[in-house]
Amino acid sequence: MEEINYKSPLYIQLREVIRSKIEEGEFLPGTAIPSESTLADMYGISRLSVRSALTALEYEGLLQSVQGKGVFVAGPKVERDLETLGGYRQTMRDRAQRPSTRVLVKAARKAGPYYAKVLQIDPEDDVWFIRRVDTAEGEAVALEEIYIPVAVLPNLEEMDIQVFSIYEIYEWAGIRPYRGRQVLRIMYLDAAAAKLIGISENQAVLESTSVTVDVTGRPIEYSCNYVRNDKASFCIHYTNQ
Amino acid sequence: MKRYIPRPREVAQEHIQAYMLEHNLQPHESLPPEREMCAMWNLNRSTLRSAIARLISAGRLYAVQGSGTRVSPRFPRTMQDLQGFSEYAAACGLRSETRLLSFSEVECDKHLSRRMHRMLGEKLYRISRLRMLNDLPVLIETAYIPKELAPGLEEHDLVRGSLFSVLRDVYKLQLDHGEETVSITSATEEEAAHLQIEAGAPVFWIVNRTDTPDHMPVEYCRTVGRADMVEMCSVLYWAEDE
Repeated sequence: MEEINYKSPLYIQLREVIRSKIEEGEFLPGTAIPSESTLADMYGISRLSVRSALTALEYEGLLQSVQGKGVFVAGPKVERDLETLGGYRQTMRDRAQRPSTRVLVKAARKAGPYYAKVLQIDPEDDVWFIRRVDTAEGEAVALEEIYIPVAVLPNLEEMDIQVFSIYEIYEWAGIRPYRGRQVLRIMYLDAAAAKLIGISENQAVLESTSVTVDVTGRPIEYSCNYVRNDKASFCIHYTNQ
Repeated sequence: MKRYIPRPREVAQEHIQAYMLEHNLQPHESLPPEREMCAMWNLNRSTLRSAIARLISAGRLYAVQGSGTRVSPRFPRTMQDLQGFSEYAAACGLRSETRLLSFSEVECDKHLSRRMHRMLGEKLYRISRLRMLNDLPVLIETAYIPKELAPGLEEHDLVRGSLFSVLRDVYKLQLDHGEETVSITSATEEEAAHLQIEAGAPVFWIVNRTDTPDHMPVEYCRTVGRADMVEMCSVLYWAEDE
């Protein structure tokens, strides 16, 4: 990566300028930054360079453009703090207190060949399939798809997962989630799924998949999270054993 | 009981993914011919194709003109560990190569000051390296290290040697814990050129900082990683109830 100095391309220099103004609080969340043409005049650079800088910052989620209104400083991202320091204390506890969620599907289906493999069950066994949209302050942040063997939570149908988190439901069922193996990738959703979280299919999302096992080592859940990059990032703490 | 009936494309996709798992398909290995897959799973051709197209957008497969569909190469990078790049590659049996893009001294600015807990104007080493796995450019890592902690760092071989082992062994710095954030950004022209992708393409944007046991930041690193080659892995444990 190039060192950013006076020789760097102008859009990269401008990107740094705006990033630090946001970080230093000169540009406050929710406020509009100066217009493209103002920035172009201010720094004596072309509007094309300004646009490149702003596009990159939008991608990072620091800025958000609103049709016909201008470009605004985005609020802080929802940090998905996945794990904390010290011999792996913590946790997905924050997942237990998700801000709010809209359940689109909650139904049983046949596991089929793939989920059967992942969950180590028979392809003919039933799994619960949940698809929901997570929102933070009224805005879609992520699309979530969860597969749970029906044998693990036979009563899920009666539980209101809009009110209770699945982790509470596990607790009531005496199931102790123990460990999850998570993989983050960058991918594109199809048009229909992208629309559910208010983005276009050309916008890359972070995909987080994980298989969770309980204390006995039995897989209890497979989940896929498709996260809007401009709304959330993943954060992890690591330690020397 | 309410039932969900997967759509034909989902069914096809699940068959393909199950096949990949079952046969433990490795990067660049091919899926069977379309005709065979259709017969095996009783699917029609257009359903199968739309499932393949979806798995391509999802980064699992790539198409090779005239010779079908293959498994995308993915290099899993473990988060939450303090292993250097070369150690990691060796552990995975991958051939690694590092190119030094730049080594310079910079002055601590506001941004770095906050992250490195250093005064404005203090000298920091800035080391930018291109990391390659099996001859493919995968990551650009740009590390900042306070000069005060590692004077003379420029004397050390950071292309064949590991930065972390130099910090540990030569400068006796104890690298104890850190924090890593993963998100997406778009590649600048220069990053794109090094990574052999198109400028503006989405890339991983990974920022981490590693501290000593008494919370003194030693290294602050910004990494840009190819979206189609890198995956970030971690193992998470649930908290015991207090």
